[in-house]
Amino acid sequence: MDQSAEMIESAVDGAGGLRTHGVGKHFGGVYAVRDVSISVGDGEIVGLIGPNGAGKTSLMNVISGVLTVDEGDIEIDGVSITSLATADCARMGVARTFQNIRIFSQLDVRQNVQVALTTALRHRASYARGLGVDDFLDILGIADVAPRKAGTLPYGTQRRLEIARALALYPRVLLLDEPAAGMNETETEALMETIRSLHDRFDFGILVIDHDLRFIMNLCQRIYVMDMGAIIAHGIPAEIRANPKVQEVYLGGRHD
Amino acid sequence: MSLITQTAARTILPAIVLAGAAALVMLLGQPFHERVAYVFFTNLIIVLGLQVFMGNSNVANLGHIAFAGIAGYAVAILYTPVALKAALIPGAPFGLDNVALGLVPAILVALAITLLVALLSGLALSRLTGVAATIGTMALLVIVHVVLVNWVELTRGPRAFYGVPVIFTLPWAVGAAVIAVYIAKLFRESQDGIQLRATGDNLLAAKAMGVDVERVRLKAWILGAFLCGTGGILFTLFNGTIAPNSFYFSQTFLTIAMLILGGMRSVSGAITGSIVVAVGFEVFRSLENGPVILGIDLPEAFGLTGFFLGAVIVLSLTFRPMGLMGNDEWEDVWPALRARLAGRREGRP
Repeated sequence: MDQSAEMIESAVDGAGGLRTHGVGKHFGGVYAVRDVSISVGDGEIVGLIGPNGAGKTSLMNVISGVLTVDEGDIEIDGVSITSLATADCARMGVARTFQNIRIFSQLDVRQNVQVALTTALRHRASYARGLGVDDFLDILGIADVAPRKAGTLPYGTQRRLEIARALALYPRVLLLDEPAAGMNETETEALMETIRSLHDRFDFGILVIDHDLRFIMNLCQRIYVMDMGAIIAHGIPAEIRANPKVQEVYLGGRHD
Repeated sequence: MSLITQTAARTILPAIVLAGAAALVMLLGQPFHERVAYVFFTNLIIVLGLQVFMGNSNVANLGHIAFAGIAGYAVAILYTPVALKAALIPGAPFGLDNVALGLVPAILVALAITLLVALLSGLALSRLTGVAATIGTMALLVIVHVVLVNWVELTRGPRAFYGVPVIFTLPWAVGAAVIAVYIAKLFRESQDGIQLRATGDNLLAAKAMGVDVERVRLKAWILGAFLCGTGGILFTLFNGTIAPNSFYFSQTFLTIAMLILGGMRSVSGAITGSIVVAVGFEVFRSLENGPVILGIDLPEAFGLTGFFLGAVIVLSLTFRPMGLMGNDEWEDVWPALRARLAGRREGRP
């Protein structure tokens, strides 16, 4: 791995956030995630890229408790969340969005956020900082659609609502699974600004999966590259761009 | 406005509709109509109880009538005078043939027993999802029915339990129904209600937002059982006579048809469906007896009411699976319509 990324990583070491140690997940004999050790420190924006089927979403599912962990350990602020179910992971501060949008389509926009805020006020009271439902909508710039039924919103707004909802958990780490999927260039640009503003405003770490390399390279301070379930490279954007292994599995001719 | 006063405001319209309908029946109707209206209100309370769990959790429930049966039988056994019980259930277990409680204690104990059964069954059922949950609820109905039929010393078995004092009249049922509407609306808009609706909408996302699925389902299950039990008690203390079949499949299907037709996702759906199905049911019941209409002597057709309920369920599931009200309360209809019209004028879809 590359030196500079290691330096960043060691700088955030002990400062809290998400940390996985040799995490593995297999289905039958096939490893979806193999020996993955990553960290997302407070205030960091970390990218996770890799070709289709590399195991990125599986890793997110394992971290958020949607899939059980077969090997290794996952910690939030040094506390193991390895064996916790999805809802308990959320209460420990793991918030996420989904690749295929999963808003509560029959609830209105406010109620979508309310679901998460209720959890935060009940189980994460020490992290809550007095923001109301409308504040989270404001942060994502979707306050104008607050009374609408979520299922009637345009695609890009639904993605923003998912992030607003995740924020209302007052997370320690925010997992964004392809937040810019299906967005045009302008929307992607605006989303990038919004995510950066989260970074300025809150102290949690953000882990972003996306296929849009320009998006990831511009947004993230560090990037992990996954292939065949394993981390094959790790570094700052410039290093990832220059890494021959990465170019081979990911950039080489097939993309961009 | 707090949720409590806001919900009270949102209950005014249904309260006016329900009380108005009852007043019309009392002013213009015959005793027979008053009877039909009373039973309508007990059914409405049971449908509201069903809505609280099924409508918010999106888990089909076929067992809610069990709670009406438990509460109905409990109040009948506790409240019927000792002299009558000596003839009905001599030597009843726990010495129940020798004691009779006052009205209020009998109702409270009956509700307590219902809530206890709801808690125990709910602890098991709230862990289940989808088909397993639905079959589990139906099993509960069958279990309660089998107990009512076979615990002859306590319930008289399949024979009718008669002689229960007739206490309540139509205004009582209207009052209870309005309170039930308020309770159902309050739960729907509460934090637990919104979280439960989230689990019914997208279970995985609800878990990812930290929702304790079992806990919110259990709360709704118990609250629903409370309303269904209240409906059973009101029915028993009006009818004076109950039998295990008063609380079994035909009652289950009647109330399910009401909820599905109206739309289970909203309290207004429960009310709307109850009204429409109750009216339709009475029309078909009169047709069953082969009346003469416009000089045509119609043949007797027993079973028409069952046919009607089945048709209501099939047709609404086919053509309007979300029910007449969909996701809306009555008070949401006009703003939603206006928003849609405004959107159309601006050329939005």
